[in-house]
Amino acid sequence: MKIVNNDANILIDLVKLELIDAFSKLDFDLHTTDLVLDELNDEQRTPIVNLNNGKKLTVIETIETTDF
Amino acid sequence: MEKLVANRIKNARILKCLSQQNVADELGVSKQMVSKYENGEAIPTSSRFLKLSKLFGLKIDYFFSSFQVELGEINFRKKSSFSIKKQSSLKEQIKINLENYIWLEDTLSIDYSFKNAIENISINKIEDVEKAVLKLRNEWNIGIDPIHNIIQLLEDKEIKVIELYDVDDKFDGLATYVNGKYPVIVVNGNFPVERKRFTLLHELGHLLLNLPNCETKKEEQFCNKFAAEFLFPREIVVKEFGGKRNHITLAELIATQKKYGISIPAIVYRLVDSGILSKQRHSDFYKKTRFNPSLDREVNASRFETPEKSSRFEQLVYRALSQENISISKASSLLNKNIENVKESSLI
Repeated sequence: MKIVNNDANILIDLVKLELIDAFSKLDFDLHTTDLVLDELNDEQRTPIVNLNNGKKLTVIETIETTDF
Repeated sequence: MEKLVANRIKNARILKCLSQQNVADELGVSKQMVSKYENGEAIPTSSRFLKLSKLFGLKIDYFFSSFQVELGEINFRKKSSFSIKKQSSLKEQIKINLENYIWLEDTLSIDYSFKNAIENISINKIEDVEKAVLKLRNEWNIGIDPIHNIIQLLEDKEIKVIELYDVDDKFDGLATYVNGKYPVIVVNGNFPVERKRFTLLHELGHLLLNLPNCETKKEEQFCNKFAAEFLFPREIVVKEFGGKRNHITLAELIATQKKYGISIPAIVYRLVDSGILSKQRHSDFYKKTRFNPSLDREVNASRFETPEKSSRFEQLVYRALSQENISISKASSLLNKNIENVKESSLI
């Protein structure tokens, strides 16, 4: 199942409670967005970026400029 | 949705007094692309939204919020030195503040209808202002004692107060109604406390006084009188200084300044206005201060000890947060603080 985290608050809690490791082991397809990532401070961002590098979490960015 | 985002981007650019070219340079896109953004023909990528958010000093939420307010007439007459660009920027700044404010009150189901207690007193001559102030002070149950905190008083009386810090130092304040019913006073937050208090009350005069159709200068006189009378009512002036005087000491003036939160030049003006000092003495006072820099500093120093800071909005944000009307992310966006800060202050 695909889970998209759209609230920085949740990631902050996970980092603070040292649950990132457990979180990454859940059998879900984890996603968040660059907008959420931007709300984190360096300390909070590092573990999330690591998850992303380890392909355990995908950071969604909108890339195409839509022309209506 | 496209139109909404387009308008928000355009308004934010106006807020910062930037050109489309400035924005384009910052984003690394063409000016035509920025124009497309603003016309709703294209929408920025998320990474460009992040850049816009930093460039404009606004949270991402801002670009997607559909909650908007209608500002009443804003009179820039006395700020004639303000360029159109600066006026528009100021309007946007006020709008953003009010959008958040009113949205929050809506969320908390706070509704009220403000009543102007002195709208029936028509002001034709300067003495009428005294009557109006007394009536208002009575209606508001505050007698004629010194007022400790003007902002708090106004907020208790359901007038919104917004302090702006990132503004031209020529901007003092303004007053208007939002959505046709909420009275709002905007004031330059960087002012010394005495000047802030006087400005707030001057603007209150513009909001409440039932003024005749007259020229700007006259209107300003009525509102200055209103502010002076409100801060330091005539009855009290006489009580503090007695009858006619030939000399006044600086020590007396300082004591009064500290007690009533009114500047020394304004007190001296009040003394003349109440017939305690002669006009001749008034001009002597000005000459004296003009040619004596150390006296001038003493006269213009700020001494009132209560800081005038508006706190209602912040309080409402925390209330909404603790009642779970809004999320921590939303609170951080409303307060323009980072999430971590908000989390720390909401532990209980």
